[in-house]
Amino acid sequence: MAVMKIFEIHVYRGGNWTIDSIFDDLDLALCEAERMDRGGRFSAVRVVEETFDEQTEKARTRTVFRSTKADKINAATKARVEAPLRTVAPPRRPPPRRKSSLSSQVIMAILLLSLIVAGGLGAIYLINTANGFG
Amino acid sequence: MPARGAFDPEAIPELWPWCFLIDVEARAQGRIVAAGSGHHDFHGRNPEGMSLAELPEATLLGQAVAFAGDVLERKVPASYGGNFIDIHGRDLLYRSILLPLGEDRPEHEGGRIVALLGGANCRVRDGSSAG
Repeated sequence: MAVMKIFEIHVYRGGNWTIDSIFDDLDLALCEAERMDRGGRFSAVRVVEETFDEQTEKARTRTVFRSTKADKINAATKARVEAPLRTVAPPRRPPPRRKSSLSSQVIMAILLLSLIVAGGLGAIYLINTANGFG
Repeated sequence: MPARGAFDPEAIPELWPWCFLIDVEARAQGRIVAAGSGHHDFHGRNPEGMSLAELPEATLLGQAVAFAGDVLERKVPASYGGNFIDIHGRDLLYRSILLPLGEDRPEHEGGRIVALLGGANCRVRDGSSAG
């Protein structure tokens, strides 16, 4: 009893995988699948190995080649993400001004008011004094 | 599936010597209807008109048509190869392919197979070409 092995080329079209051709030789199947993939007629091409054990009458399949546009796009995206970042650092922003606290603003206002009041009183005193001499 | 009427042997003069056409319509029940000169020479006779069952297994054509049933069942081209001892005792390494051809005016997509276009070549395993 022997184990039979064939290689099916599947193509993806119209939303379905369909068998395109059958080979008994992996190299030939891969060569043809790569040629078809380069041709760009199909959005995806794959090679499926089908093994049938005549003794156990069991079949087993596995994909040995797959090439899709989606894979290429994903690979390109992955390469971009994994590439070292070489972007120019953004210009350093000036440190934000520290906002003065409310208490210091009140003190400044009181001092300013005191200065104005003292100035006003001083001016009245000088006027009165000047009148007294007159 | 390509239509049988679309096939023209004169369009492939380099390949046709090792090609053949099998009529698989019910009336023909699998019969060689045309064969290139290479197969005439290799078989020592013109195989045209022979049924698949009549082709000796130990011939290139006999090996090449051995998997015709798979092609008819799956409706896809298939390529098989290997080695065998031919009727002259030579150890031959061969490679063959069968491609299904459909009706000229199919009633629906993926219609009935009416013929198989085949190609097969071989060489003696000591390295010299048998063809």
